Amino acid sequence: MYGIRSVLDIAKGALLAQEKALAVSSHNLANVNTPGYSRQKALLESNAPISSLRIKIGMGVRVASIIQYVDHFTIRNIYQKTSSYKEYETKSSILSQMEAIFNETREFGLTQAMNEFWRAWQDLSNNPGGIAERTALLTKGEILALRFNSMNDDLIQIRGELNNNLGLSITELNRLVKEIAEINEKIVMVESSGTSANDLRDLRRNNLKKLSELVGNVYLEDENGALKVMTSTGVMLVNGNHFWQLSQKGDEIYWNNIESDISYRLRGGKIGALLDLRDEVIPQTLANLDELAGTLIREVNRLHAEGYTLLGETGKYFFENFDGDDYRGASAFIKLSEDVKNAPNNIAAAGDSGEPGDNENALRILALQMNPNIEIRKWSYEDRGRTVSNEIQMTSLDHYYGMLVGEIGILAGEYNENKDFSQVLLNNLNELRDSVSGVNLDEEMVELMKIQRAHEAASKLVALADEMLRSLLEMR
Amino acid sequence: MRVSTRSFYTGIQERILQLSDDLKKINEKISSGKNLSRPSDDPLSLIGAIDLRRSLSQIGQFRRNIERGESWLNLSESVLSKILQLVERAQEIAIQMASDTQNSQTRAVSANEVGHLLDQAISLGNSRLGGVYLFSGYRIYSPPFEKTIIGGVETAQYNGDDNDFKIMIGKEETLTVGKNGRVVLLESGIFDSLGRLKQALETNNLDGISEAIGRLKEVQDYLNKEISDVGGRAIRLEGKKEILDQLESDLQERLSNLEDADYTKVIIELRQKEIIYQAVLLSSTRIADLTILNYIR
Repeated sequence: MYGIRSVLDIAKGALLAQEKALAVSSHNLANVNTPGYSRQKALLESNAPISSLRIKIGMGVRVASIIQYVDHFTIRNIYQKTSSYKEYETKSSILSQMEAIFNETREFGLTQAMNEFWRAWQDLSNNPGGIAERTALLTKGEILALRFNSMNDDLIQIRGELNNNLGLSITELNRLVKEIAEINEKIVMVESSGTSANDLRDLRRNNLKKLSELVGNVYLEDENGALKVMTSTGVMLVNGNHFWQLSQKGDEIYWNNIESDISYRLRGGKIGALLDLRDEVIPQTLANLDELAGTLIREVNRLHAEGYTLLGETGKYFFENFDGDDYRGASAFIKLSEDVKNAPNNIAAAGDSGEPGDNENALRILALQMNPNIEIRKWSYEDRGRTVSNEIQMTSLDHYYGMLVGEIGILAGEYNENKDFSQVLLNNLNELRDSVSGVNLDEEMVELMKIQRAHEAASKLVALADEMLRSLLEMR
Repeated sequence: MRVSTRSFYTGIQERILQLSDDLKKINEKISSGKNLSRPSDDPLSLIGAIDLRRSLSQIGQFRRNIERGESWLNLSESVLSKILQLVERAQEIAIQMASDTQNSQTRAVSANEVGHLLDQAISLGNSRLGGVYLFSGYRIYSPPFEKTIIGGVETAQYNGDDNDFKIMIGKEETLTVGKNGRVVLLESGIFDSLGRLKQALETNNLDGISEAIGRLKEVQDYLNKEISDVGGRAIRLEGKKEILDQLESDLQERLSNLEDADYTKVIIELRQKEIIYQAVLLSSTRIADLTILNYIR
């Protein structure tokens, strides 16, 4: 039936539709600063016309659905880049701590301690019988040993902090995984009725982004709207409303409480970075520092034991000696030997007698500083410490240490650059995402004006229909 | 491209934060005066700087060694010169006493003087530098020469050893600063010659006196040779010191090039960043004012 009453219906429908559109626009306006919010839009659709004799007359408007502007491709990219940005950010911040340990840009640090150690040998060679020179050498030797000890301590401490940090990250990951599974369930429930669960999807995307900050992952959505999430190496985390948790025990990470280490399969993100540092960078640095300390002990002791003390004895060690060619822990172990500790006369400065003027052995030992042909191993830890290899180098002790510092500097620089680079990429992607999903206030304001006018017009229609009805009713 | 309001503002924030970071780094350079504040700033320069600093430390040490060597050689030279004077005095006495105008009495008086000369020579041979005997070889804490009588002749015996004391004056470069007393003094025959002269004077033995004249001449030649040897080594040290001075200032300059901030450059950089910073603030506030809200009521 067509008539004034249907005009009232159309007006009512228009009022309702505009009010819904107003609600959606207000929602957009309110969320202008909400991170991860995707702007929504009420899709208006004209109602099916009714036929009146041979003509079809439209029946007004309705809100067909409320859609979200989302660029899935860009968002997938954002997750990936978020993982690598977080990875490099974490690495560069830890490396800057390590740089502080190896900071040789100021005039203290291991180089200085080594230089002073060798200078003390020089001074002793100038006056091999001098008790003051001998005592000074013991002090410098002790300072050098302590410097090694504290560098070792600092590295071990950073490693411990990494492991703590890893524990916190895993707790966070478990929480996110659980939440994603819960949201999955809600989305499936809401969307089974045919509506789109826009805000729940925003929430899930936010959680997925946070998950990407923690670990590299892949995901796919099934036809019901539920997500399946696994790490980039295929460790299953969420499937619909099921989820699996990780747990940390010592240095190992278990999946679903199965006691088998899966840390090797966690790549990218903060967790991947912490594991890379814990199992590659730090053990490699420690191994090389140990190698330097061990070689110093070996070389100094070898010569020292051949020399003669002020009392004419031979076979004494300068540093506490150790046997074998396993230098692990040498930087923590290094200290003055019981032979010379508190016994400066036991320093073997002499080459072949106990004479106080014999400085031949001191000259031989101090020549170590400049010896460019000391055999020293250079360790590398790859593949999360599964491949440990070394190559023998012929170099000087100073040079070896310089190389070690350079290596850390280069690594820190590389991580900084990668961080900045992925930051730029991420910013671009975020702008791209926001160009689709972000709210623009001016745009929404115009939208509001549009809605307001349409609403006014619809109200006018009601008044008009009312007037027409009244004039009909007033007919006598 | 559509620009969302949020990304517009976060963009402003990011740019300002980036500029603040740049300003902080420039400020670090200015306040420390150094280009390098952490290894990653420039790892290769840092390795270079470590090498340079080690070389500088070595040079400093070599100079200390050389100073010690110089005082050792200087003292040796003056001791040897004094001993040479003693020998010359003994030579004068011998020549004078070889004359027929002298008699056993005057010769006995001279014998006494030669005895003193011998004592002085021994005591000069036992000279010390900071508690260390110059001519003992490695036995630096015991006096090398001791007066003794062999076959009725007064002389000195050597208690040191046959080692020479060396110091390091450069990479793989050592220099003998303390030749042992056997080579420097004992083998010159000085003590023996003085002892024999004394004996000849005491016994009024003219042949012995003229023999002593010849021997003392040889001793003088020997000592002169040793003195010029010491002088030669002192010159070598002097030259080495000059080379090290030159090297040190070269290395200092290279280190400064690597490490020290170029203020002109840094200040210009600072000015540039300042201008950009202000421009960003200005343009940001201008654009932020552009909103439709200003036009609708």
